Amino acid sequence: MVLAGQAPAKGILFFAPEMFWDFVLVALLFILVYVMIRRANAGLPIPRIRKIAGLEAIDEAIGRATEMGRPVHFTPGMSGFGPETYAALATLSYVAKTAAQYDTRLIVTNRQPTVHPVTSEIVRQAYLEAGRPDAFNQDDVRYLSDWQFGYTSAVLGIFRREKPAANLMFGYWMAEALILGEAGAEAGCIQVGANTNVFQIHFFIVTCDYTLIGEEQFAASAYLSKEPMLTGTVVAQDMVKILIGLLVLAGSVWATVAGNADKLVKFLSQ
Amino acid sequence: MQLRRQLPLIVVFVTAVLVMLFKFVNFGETGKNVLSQMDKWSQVTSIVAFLLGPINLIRLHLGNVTKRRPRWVHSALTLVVTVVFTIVFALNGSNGEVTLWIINNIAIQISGAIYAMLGFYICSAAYRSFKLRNLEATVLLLSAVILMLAQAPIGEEIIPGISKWGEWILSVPNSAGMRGIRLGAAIGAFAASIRVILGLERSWVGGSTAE
Repeated sequence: MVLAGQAPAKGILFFAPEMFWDFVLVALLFILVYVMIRRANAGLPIPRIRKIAGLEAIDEAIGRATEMGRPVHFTPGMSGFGPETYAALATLSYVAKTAAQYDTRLIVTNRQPTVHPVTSEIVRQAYLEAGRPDAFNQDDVRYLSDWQFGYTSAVLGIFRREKPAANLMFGYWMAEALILGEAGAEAGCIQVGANTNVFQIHFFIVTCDYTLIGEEQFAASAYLSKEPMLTGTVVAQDMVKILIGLLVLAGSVWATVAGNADKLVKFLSQ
Repeated sequence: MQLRRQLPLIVVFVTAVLVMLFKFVNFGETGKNVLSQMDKWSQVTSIVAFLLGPINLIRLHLGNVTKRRPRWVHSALTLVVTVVFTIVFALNGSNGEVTLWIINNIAIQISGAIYAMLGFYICSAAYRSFKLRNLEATVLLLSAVILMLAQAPIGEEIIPGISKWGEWILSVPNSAGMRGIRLGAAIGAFAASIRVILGLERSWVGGSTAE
């Protein structure tokens, strides 16, 4: 392995110097995930995930919709395939199974044409696993528009016309976050919102009953499935976060004592 | 059926390993060419998948019209607009005069109108969230009042020095919170990607997690 300054300009099989710390982070996370999977397979204890109110509320929201005889609306967000969308799809899988078991109508709306067939397949499979394949309605998994506000206005129309009792908004959200959150609140929905966009999270906080802030959304699959192997990966992620937190703390102390932390920044930037 | 679920997992794993290999190892120009080629493949497959959305849209609304479901007229209008715009786009091109006229004078104006609704929604959301219900809501209300006065010229006249308070709220507690959320979300996204790459998270292929 050759580090910065030593890498030949036209080498092959030498470490890309500008990617050193990225590699360290990826390797560390892979190692920690591997260790946690081994622990889970060996039946060794895995730390528990703290209670996440927003995920606990999903059952409450579907239950409320069932009691009221009204549908549940779910959306996997505005972005194409990315970490947020995968997390939203994992949540959709759980929501669809629960809705199928309760015999509650589930409306899924999509902005991305590439995500739409996947959501359709997830819901179909969930109804199949719940033993109710006949209850799956293809027309309730809808592609609306890839135009940001075209999609938004279509969802506003669904809130008005089909009056869902629960509105579950996962994935990544932008300027439409407040419009949808507020329209859902006006429609009387119990709302769970999740977002990683720091400029829009506060809109979900003020309009939704429960909000998953940032990383909480990524813990959804582990939290809902209670699968030790997946829980282990969340624990691994938290360990890396603690490590980075310690690094931030060290940098703060260093900057306070020495006046600046330029040497540390330079070391990590190489 | 088994292969139908396993094939996407294999494709994701192999693609991820290749991308990481070409990112972390210095293969020179060869590496850049391979990554660029993979990016093109991704775009081509996305275009194919792109058709599936509009097909669903047409199928749904065609069903509404033919079965005369409630509000089928809305569906008919959607179909007419979709067909007309597709024909215009095909004949006139993406930068054609008629296409741009439709986009600039209809689509963008409607989008602007929806976006403008934010102004009203901010007022109604602020009214509900700024009620003094508990300690958190009180902190939210106080911060909002200070920030609004700090941004408005009259604020400094009413309470001298308030602009500095506003500046402090934005640059210290607000920045700290935002950075914390960003850091957690970035690492969370990273761990979620690893779960997908390793096939631990497979709900996206229509299956349960960690089967």
